[in-house]
Amino acid sequence: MYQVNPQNNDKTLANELLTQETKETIESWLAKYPSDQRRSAVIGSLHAAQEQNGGWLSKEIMQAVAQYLEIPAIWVYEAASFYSMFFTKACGKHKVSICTNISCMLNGAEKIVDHAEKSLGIKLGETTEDGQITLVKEEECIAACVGAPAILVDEHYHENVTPEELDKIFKKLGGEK
Amino acid sequence: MSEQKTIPDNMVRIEIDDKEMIVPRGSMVIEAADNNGISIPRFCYHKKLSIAANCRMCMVDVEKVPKPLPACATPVMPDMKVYTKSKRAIDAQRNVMEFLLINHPLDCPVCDQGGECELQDISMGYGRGVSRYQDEKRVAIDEDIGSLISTEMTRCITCTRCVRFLEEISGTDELGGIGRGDRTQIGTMVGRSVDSVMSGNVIDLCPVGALTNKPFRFKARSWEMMSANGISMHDAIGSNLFYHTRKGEILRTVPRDNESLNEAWISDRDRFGVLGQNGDDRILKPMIKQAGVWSEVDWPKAMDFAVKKLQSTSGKDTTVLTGSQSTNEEYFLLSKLFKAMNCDNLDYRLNQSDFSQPHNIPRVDLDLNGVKDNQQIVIIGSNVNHEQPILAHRIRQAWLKNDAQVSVFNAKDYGFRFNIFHNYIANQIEWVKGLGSLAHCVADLTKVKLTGEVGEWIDNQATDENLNHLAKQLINKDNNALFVIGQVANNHPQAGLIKAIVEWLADNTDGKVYEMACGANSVGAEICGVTSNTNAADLINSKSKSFVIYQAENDDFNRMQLAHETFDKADSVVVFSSFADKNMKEVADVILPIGLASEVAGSFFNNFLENQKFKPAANLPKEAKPGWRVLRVLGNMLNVDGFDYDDISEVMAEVDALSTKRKASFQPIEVTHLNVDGLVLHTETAIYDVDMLSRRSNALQETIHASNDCLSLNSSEAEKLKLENAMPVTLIQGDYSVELFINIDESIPTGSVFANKCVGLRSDVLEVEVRGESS
Repeated sequence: MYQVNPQNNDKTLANELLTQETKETIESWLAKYPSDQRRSAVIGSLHAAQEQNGGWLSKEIMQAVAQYLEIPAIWVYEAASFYSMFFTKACGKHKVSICTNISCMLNGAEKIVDHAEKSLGIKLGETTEDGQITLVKEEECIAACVGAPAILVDEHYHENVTPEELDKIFKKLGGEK
Repeated sequence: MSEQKTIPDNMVRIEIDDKEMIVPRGSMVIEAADNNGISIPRFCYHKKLSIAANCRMCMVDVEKVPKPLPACATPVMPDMKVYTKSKRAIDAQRNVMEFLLINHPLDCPVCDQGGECELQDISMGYGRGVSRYQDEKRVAIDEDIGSLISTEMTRCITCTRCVRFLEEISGTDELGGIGRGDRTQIGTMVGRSVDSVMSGNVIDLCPVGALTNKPFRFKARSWEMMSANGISMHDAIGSNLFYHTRKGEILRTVPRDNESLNEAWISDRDRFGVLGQNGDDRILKPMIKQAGVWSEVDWPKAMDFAVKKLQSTSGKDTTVLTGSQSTNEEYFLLSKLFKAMNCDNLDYRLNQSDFSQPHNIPRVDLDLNGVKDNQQIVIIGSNVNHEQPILAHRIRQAWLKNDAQVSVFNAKDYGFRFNIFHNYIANQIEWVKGLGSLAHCVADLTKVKLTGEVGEWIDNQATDENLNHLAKQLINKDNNALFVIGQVANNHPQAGLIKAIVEWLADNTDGKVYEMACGANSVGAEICGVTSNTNAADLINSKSKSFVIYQAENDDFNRMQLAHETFDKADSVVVFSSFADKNMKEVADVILPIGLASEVAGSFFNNFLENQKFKPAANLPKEAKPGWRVLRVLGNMLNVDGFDYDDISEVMAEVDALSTKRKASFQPIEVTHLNVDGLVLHTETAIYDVDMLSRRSNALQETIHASNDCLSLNSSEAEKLKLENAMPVTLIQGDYSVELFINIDESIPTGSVFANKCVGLRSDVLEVEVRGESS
């Protein structure tokens, strides 16, 4: 539905919290849609805000995005809570999403999950103590069935993953401290 | 069919359950069924909200369609055949029901909605006797969304009616669907409250027990209560209500549909205001004060006492002042009684300060349904959202659905839930000048000038390009213009000037005027004659020996301190009231407890001059009596003719016979010139301070809209005065001073400070001084 309510012109929080780079990214997204459908830019904007905010979306930064887009704050929160690539709670620097959907599951995704949980000592949805790695809870199909089991590490695909390979990935992620 | 009926182009013929009907093209199957008495179960569909089609309960079977379709989102097609009771339809409905109940708790006995729950009702019809679901149920954490609505989100079936209401009707976008799939929950943006002034409607909309009435929670079951018709006691829309009572006590209020007034909604003030009925200072027995000591007495003794007090002074030396929430019948008898005693000192306009225009019935040239037909709406001196929330909703709908352009002349940016075309926000002196500039522009464009002092004043106001643009739109023949005047204008020291300008503007732009009446029944007070040649401000300042105060209290007056002092000095003060606070007890000599409008039979005139009658909904507490009966007996005791009424219907008949014709238009007035050095005060009555009932409703007083002891100003003014948020300051208005706390608020224009009137301020003195603690 189109925006039915007056746009909020107060941009105090947006100006305070969003960096110039984030604002530019948001503007580039806004330019792609008709001017009366600013809501459409919410996903692109949230990605930019999440990157700026160290990998997760705080309540304040979501409000800042809402202000910048001149849309109700609840719309931003709805989108942020809907998509698994947005994190509304503080989480690790790197996100590892293990696909557990049908193709990956048939090709042994559960083993990968087990291995990841054991080697990091955390459950899905948790973050390692050093704040480096978060195992994303319940990632649905990431459209890489051809290379199942597949995982997503910070937006990079790794296909046909084995426990050994996983160890290497974790080592690399942890080594960047 | 042998006989071919001609069907208009915009209609189609369909059959539902073999019943033939002609329905509007483009309407949905569910509307056709509803209008023809065929019931289809539903949760998410609501006639006043957009279609979501997410509960899937209204599945029906349509001929030649291989699957059941949702009736709420299936448009009617010519010769469509719909079956709502076929096996396929019923199966689909039963299956949906089973899924809806999977995550819903099955503990109706402990749910507040039990007995009036749509889910419960429909599951009686479509649910299975036993749940086949064995796994864990979803639970949700409840949020605190304020003092009016209590949440139990585990019961939510995510129909999103509340989300759609707050987005479409109230325009505040406070709730949303958080999360995804089976874990979707209705919630706020992390820990916010729902602050719409119509928020209570989500209680009625919620088909389950997820959102319930907080003050009413666990007070009663629906089958224990009686329902009585009522009329709003707080604003002059006259919203139609149902009071739900048990053993004669009103426990809650819900809307009664009236398409021409409140549609299916009521404001929170109408819903929760009546809870003030149980205020601590409710007067339950007649009371008299002798030698400074109050004692409760029986009615005959109190009446004797009151009669003695009234007889001790002549009618000429008696002043009668009333609030604006009593019934027409009480106003009529009050006026009849005291005018028979040669009293010509009556008024109901307690909050007003400029009386240069004679008292009159407020001018309203249209009904509420007509609001949407205006392309140009100009709001003048009004927080319409707080004064008449239903009118604000109608203006919003005109903006939303009919692209009406709304302009505003105000002393504060109230954050209306519609876009503003021309937003003229300036301090109390400057916005009136802005209105003058608009009139100047219109005069220049139409070449019609207003004569007299007002015309001269208008001529002296500078024109500007923005206002000229608005003026052009207003005089455009294709645009209907509507001018809405509210209480900020009505209580303004230049009220007469403002009204004269608006009157002239409307006449010159072929526009209409909607002058909001103060309170619920000030129109009734005007029609029933609680008026005289002297106005309330002069009466408060007079040396009248005797005062009669009818259902009014200190906070109702513009000059609270002066009113208090005057009553204190008077020889006698006879009070008819449901409540009496400390201030009233200090000055009164006798207090006669009378019923509230919800407890008596009577009628109210609304803004549109509809005389809406009602019967008592609640029992009168203890010894309180209906006001009209007390006045009737008083009339007999004072030997006034024509007070031999046996029944209220006789008084009603006399009220019905009264003329509701508005007196001729505004008269030429002298212009009051205002000049203030420094900050200009803007003070107004807060939304929940409008009458004695709303002031005593705890639920309303706990909301963010309740009045506070803040002095608001914008950051640039605060910087100039070196003031910071929450800093204590002293506000000095004439010889009155009050301690307030600074609140930095950008909605206040530069050069202006804002405070609630209830802290003791008067609206007609604009010059104030702010003193910081340190200086």
